[in-house]
Amino acid sequence: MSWELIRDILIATVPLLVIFPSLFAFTTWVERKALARIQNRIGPNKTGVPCTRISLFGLGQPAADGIKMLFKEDIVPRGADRLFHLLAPIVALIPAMLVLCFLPLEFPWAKYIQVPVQAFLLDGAVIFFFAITGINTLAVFMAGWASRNKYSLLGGMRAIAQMVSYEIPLVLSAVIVVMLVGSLNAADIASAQEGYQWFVFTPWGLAAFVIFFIAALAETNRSPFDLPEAESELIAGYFTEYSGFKFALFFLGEYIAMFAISGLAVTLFLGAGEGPGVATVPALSAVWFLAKIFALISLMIWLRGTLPRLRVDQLMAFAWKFLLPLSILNILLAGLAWHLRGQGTVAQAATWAASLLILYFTARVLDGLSRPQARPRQYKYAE
Amino acid sequence: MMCNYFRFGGLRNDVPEGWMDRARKVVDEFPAFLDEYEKLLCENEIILSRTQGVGVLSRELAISAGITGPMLRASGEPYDLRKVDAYGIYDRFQFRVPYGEAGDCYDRFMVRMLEMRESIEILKQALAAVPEGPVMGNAPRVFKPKPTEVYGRIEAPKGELGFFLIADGTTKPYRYRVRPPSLVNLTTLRDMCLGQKVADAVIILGSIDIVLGEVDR
Amino acid sequence: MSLLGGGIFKGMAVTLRNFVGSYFKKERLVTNDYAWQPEGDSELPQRASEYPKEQGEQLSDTTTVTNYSRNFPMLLHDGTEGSNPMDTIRCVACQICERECPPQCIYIEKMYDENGKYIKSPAKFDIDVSVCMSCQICVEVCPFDAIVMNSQFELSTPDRFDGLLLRRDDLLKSNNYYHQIHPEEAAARDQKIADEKAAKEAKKKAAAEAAKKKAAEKSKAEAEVKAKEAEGSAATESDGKQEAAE
Repeated sequence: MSWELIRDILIATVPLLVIFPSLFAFTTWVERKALARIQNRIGPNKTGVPCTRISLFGLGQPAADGIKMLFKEDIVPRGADRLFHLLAPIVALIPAMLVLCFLPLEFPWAKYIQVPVQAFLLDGAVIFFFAITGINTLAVFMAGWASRNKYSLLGGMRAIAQMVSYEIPLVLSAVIVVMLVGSLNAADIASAQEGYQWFVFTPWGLAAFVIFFIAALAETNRSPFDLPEAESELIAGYFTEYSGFKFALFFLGEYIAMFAISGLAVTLFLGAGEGPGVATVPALSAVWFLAKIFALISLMIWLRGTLPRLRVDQLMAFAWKFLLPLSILNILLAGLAWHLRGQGTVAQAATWAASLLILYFTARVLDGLSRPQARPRQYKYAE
Repeated sequence: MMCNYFRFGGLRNDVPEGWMDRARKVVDEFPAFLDEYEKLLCENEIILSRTQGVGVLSRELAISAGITGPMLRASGEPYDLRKVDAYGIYDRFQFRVPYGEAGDCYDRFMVRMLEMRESIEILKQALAAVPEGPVMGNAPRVFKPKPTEVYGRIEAPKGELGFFLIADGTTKPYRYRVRPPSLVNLTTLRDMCLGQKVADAVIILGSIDIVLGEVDR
Repeated sequence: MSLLGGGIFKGMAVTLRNFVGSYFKKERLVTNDYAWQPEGDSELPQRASEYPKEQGEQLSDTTTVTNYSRNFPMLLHDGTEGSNPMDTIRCVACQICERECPPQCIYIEKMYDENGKYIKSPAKFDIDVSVCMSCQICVEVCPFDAIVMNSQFELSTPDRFDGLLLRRDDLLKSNNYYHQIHPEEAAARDQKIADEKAAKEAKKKAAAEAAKKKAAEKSKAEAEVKAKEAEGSAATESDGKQEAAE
C-alpha cells in the first residue's frame, strides 16, 4: 500500500462521497417542491440560511431535516435483535454507494490519478452492479425481521418479493445492451454509443429502456410501486420501528440507489455522458451524465405525483406476466436485428418497423390477458 | 354556509354585493377543472385495475338494505329524490340522473363525477332564475303545531337525509330523529368486502364516501 | 383503440400542465402566505389578547378580510381614545347571549356594589374563542346592541386553554373601531339605535301630551262640578234666607 495508491483511491472515491450525498439533499428539496407545484401549492419556502430571515426558496430544508433526524432518540424495540437492527440501514446504504464507483463518470480530476485504480475499470461492471444491488434485498429483510413487529415483517417480505421479481426484467433488459456491445465493461458500453448511436433510439432499445425504468422504479420502492413504504397500507412498512439517524440512513440509501440505477440506465441506454460540446470540453461529459441522471430522477418524481399505488398482487402480476415475457421477446428481436444488420437500409428499416409492431401488439395482448376487465365504461342517464 | 343561514321563512340576510357575479364565475370555470380531473383519473390504468370489480354491491341487496344516493344509482337503480319527490323547486330544473350498472367502486366514482356536471347545470339554471325581492317571509319565531308526526327527506350527497319529528302540541318536539345516510350505507360494508383482498377494504370504505360524524352522532 | 398506457400518459400531461401553470398562473396556487410577522426577536404572544390593539388590529391580510368578515365577538363601548371603556359600556349583563349561545362559550358575572345591589354592568365577560363557532346568534339576540362581531383573526397562542380565553377588557372595543371594520353594518346599527330612541322619545312626548290633556280635562270637569255645587249651595242659601224672611 504505497502512498500514491492511497492518494489515488482517495481522489477517486472521496469526491463521490461528497457529491452524491449533497445531490441527495438537493433531490429531496427538488422532490418536495416539484410535488408541491404539481399539487398547486408551494412546498417548503421558509427555511434558508439558519438564524436569519433569508429564505433561499427553502433550500435549507434538507439541512434542517438532517439535523432533526440526528437529534431524534434512537429507539430499539424491546426484544428486537439489536445487532441486525443496527446493521440493516448500514447494509442498505453501503451497496448503493459502492456501485456508484463503477459508473463511467469521468470527473476532471481523474487525470490526476497516476497509478490506475484497477478496481474501477472492472471488466464485469454490469454483473457486479446487479450482484451488489441484490444485497439491498438482504438489508430489507434484516430490517423487517429485526423490528419484532408483525407488520414490519410482512412489509419486509412483500418488499423482498417485489424486489426479487423485478430484478429479472431489469437484468434481461440490460442483457440486450450487453449482447449488442459484446462486453460487460461500462466504459466499453459508453464508447459503443458514441456518435449519438444511443441504444434508446432503436425500437428494442427503447422497449428495453422502458422496461428497465419501470423495473428500476420497483427496485427502489418508488411510486407507483411503493407498497412497502406506503403510509396508508402498513404505516411505514419495514422501517416502521426506525427513528432518527437509522431512518435517515435508509432514506439516504434509497435515494443513492435511485441515483445508481439511473446512472446505469444512462450508461446502458442514454449514451453515458455524451452531449453537445463534449469534444471540445471533456469535463462536460460528467456534467451531461449528471444532467441525464437528473432527468431520469425528475421523471421518477413526475410519476410519483401522478400515479396511485398498485396493489401487491397486481404488482407481482405486472412483473411476471407482462414485463418478463416482453423482455424475453425483446432479446429475441434484438438478436435477430443484430444478425440482419449488414443487409442494407431497406432490410434494416423493415426490421425496425416489424420490431415496433411486434412489441406493441404483444404488449397489448399481454395486457388484455392479465387485466381482462379493466376498461373505461360508458354511463346511461335517466331523465 | 353556516347552518345558521337558513331560517324558517327564508334566509337570514341577502347575499353581499358582487356575490352573484362571483358565483357565476365559479360555475363557468368549474367544468374545466372537472375535465382535468377526468383526464387525470378516469382512464388511468392503475385506477381501473384497483377499482373495477372491487366491492360489488348488487341492485337487489342495495334496495333491500335501504341504500340511497350515489351508491344505489351506481348499482343500477336510477332513484334520485330530486326527481321522485320533486321537493322544493327541483321540478323547475332540467337535469339528468346518471346511473351505473356493475355497482363496483369504479361505478360509484364515475356516478359522482358525472353528477358533478349535472349539478353545475342545475346551478346555471338557478343563478339565471333568481328573482328580486325580500329574502325573509313572515314566519313566526316559535311554532306550536298540532300533535302529529312527519318525515321529511332530501337528497343529500351521501344519500337520503331524513328528518322524523313527532310533535305533541307544545313548542318542543316529543321526538326528533335524523336518518343519516352514511350510517345506513355503512351496513353493507361487510357484504361488499367479503371475498376481496385486505388492501381493497380501504378503497371500498372510501367509495362509500362516509361522513363518520353522522354515523356516530 | 387507445394507446397502451394512454391513461397514464394523459395523467402525466395533466400534472405537467399543473406544474408549469403554477409558475405562471398565480390563481392556480391557492396558498396564502402567513400574514403576521413578529417584530425583531419577539415571539408569538402568550395570550390571544396580547396582539397589537386598535390600530394594528386589522393585520395585514387584505386578501381575505372584507367588510363582511367576522371572526369572534367583541363588546362595544361608546367612549373615545383615552376614556375608561367601562364608563360607556353598552352591556348590562342581562345574560341573554350566554343563554342563547349554542356551544355555551360565554361566561358572564354580574357586577354588584357594596350593598349587594345589582349594577347594570358585567363584572366578568369571558368568551372562549376555541369553542366559539362565530354563528352570530349572540349578536342577534342582544337587546342593547352591546355585542357585535370582530374580524380579527390573529389569535394564535402557545397555550390552548388560558391563552384562548378572551376576558372582558380584551373584548372591549370602541364604536369607532366598529365603524372602521364594518362601516355599513355599524352605520345601520347606529341608525337603528337612533330610530328606536327617536320612537321612544316620540312616544314619551305623545304620552306626556295625552296625560297633560287628560289632566286639563279633569281639572276642567272638577271646576264645572265645583261651580255647580257653588250654585246649588247658593240656591239653598237663598231659599233658606227666603224662608226666614217670611
